Amino acid sequence: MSIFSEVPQAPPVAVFKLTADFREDSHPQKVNLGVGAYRTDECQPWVLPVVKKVERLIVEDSSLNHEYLPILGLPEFRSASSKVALGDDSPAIKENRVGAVQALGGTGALRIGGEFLHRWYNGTNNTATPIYVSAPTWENHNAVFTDAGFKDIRPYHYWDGAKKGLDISGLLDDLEKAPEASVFVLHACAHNPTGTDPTQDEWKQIAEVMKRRNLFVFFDSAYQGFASGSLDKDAWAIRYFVSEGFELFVAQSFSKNFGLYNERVGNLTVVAKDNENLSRILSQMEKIVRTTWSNPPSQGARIVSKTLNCPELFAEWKGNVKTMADRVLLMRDQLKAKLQALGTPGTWDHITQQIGMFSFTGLNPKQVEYMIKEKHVYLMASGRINMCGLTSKNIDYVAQSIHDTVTSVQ
Amino acid sequence: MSVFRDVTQAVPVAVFKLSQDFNNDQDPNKVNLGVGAYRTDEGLPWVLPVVKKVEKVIAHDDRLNHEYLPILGLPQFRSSASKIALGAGSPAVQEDRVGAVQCLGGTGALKIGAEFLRRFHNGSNNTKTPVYVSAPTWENHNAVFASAGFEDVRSYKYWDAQNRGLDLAGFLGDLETCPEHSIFVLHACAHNPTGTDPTQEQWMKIAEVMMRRRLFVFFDSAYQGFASGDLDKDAWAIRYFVSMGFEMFCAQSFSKNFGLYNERVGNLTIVARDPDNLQRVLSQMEKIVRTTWSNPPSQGARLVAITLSDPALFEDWKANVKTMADRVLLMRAQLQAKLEALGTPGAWGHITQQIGMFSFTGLNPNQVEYMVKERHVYLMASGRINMCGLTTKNIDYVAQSIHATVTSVQ
Repeated sequence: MSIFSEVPQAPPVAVFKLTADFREDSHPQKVNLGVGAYRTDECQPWVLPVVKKVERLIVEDSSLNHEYLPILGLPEFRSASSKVALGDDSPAIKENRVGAVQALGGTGALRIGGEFLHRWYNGTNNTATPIYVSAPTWENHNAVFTDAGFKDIRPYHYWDGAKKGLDISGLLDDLEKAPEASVFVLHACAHNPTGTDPTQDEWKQIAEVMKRRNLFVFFDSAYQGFASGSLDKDAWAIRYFVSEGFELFVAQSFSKNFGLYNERVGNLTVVAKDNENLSRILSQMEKIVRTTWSNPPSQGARIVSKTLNCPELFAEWKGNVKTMADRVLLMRDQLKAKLQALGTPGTWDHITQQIGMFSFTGLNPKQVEYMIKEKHVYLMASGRINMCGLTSKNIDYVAQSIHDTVTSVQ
Repeated sequence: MSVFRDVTQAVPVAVFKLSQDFNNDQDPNKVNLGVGAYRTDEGLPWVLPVVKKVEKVIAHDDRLNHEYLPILGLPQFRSSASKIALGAGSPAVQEDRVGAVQCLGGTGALKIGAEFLRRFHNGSNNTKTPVYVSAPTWENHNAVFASAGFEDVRSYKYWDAQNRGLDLAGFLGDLETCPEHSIFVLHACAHNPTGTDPTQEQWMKIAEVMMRRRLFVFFDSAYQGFASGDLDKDAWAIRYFVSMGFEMFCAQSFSKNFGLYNERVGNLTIVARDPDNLQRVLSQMEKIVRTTWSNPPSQGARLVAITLSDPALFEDWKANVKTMADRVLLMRAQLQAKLEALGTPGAWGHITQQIGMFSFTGLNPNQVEYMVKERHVYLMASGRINMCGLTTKNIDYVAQSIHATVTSVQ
């Protein structure tokens, strides 16, 4: 008998199961609005031109080798990444109290940050500190913090299904009532899955309560630049909190804005009160990294670092990012316009009000099932669609499908 | 006041501290025999010619993109990597009961394997199962298993300092008396740090006890091909255990034998009783990977997969590996010869008897300190030297330094 005989079968990750089902579907008009990766108008993956260029520069550079990176990662990647989030002229950077850990994508950054907080935050090895994640949130947030050792993961009010917008009073109320020192995972921009972000005024209100109640700020920033097309605009909330004096973490991902999904390029930016605290924090981060992946992978970090640190490449990258953001905005406009032209019941303004890759359509689970089974349009059970899955060729079919679904299924 | 004021300063990882001290040392004769990476006879890092070739192929292949790999990694990498360890004709592979998880180097493979075992081995979430690591062992083994949740990490007898060889009786004694289902981390070849491996007969004895007492076999294979120059020879122990019917894990690293240290190329090979058990195990591995790094980095895995799958490139690679292994063997032979020629007190046969990158010189801590401080020859406090740090230019100085040390310091 196997020593593994008691190991149960784990259910597959929903978003990957959706893609697997999509692949097996032979329907000629099938559309995949599931997994969050950019697609061109030909519905193809897109390797950013600046990435292709830099990859070739790297391969021709005989001064490079494959020696281990430092445990915390490629120094010029870490500093350039933190600058992208905080701004070149960030006072916190000038005051030498910003550090970073190169991590394996946004997931790796969240995990290392979570492991650190579980060991060192709110006492020592305090696994009882509540971690708040938005309702709804990225499906993996809960599990990352659980595996990092936290026993109490809670939702905070976020999405108002009735008004199809932010439940700001519910959010603020949760902030007022949360135990002191609770950790809040905030989406820096382009909230996943709702596409609904607080306004600047709402962020200010959130910050005021969090400061007063000593809540810990952990930003998840996976879409900087991708959301509005402007890096600075998309980082406004992060920079505001830093200017308000918060010590905070930012888990940055370069998967989407560099299209480097499979090279796992992430950065955990740490903003501390002063350099002395920062040093001690980073020394403990090293211990955590050492037992997880020892030191991080080089290729993606080199590509990003070279790009961010060279003015011409940086400008080219921003152009590539704007290309992606603009296509998404175009699809949003067109989808809404078509639904309105069809006279589809309901209001569809949220499609253009929401921001980033995703839209929370408002379709209920039955309607989602109908979309998939009858129309072969694949979307998440939550009603989340990836705007990048829309193209000029399929958008009419998708709009028609939504129309048929909403009129047939309650 | 900082929320991180109670975070203590962590002690730096010894081997990296050693390199740092070496870098800061101005002495013109300084030699770094610390960190385990290959060096050419010019004392330089070496990017394998086959690696440079394949990197260019990858950079110019427009069919490739950067879409997420599957959670368990690049399929072609996983299967070709497992075949390297088990042998292409392995019955276990043919019986579809071998699977793998692409991981971040050997560290990542150990980590994922440990996280799985903590959850599912010897009951559910049994953190009390003893994990045995050799005395001595790689400095990170203990911490990887501890941070995966195991509360009881112990050592098994291994190095006999008196006889400068394997303490087989002690090892077998520990295997006989340990609790059933204990986990044993075995070095597949080129034991780190001692360079001392069991003979085939000794491995057979070890296997017999482990099978009888139901102990879990977890191989750490970081030097396949690098130890003797022959891939099959270096995998003999792994293949023997598989042929004996063990279910087991093998953490493989391609850092050294591909010189791809910083791309983090590893593979956790799993041998199960049958495909059904294997599937359930892999499904749970996915859950663990998802909250750690989501899915692994592509570059290094692509490189290794392409190389292992193309007959001509595979031959190129094996030749590159032999180049490295042969240089190490040459340095071993020369160091021993020089010490004997100098009449250095003690027996030095162990230098050529030991295998792989490292040699356990037998120097004690006082002597090591003298080597570092007075002679500027940097080695680990355990007396471990990296043979790759020796070159035709520095070997005389190193031999003389050892001679001077042994004759001056008791």
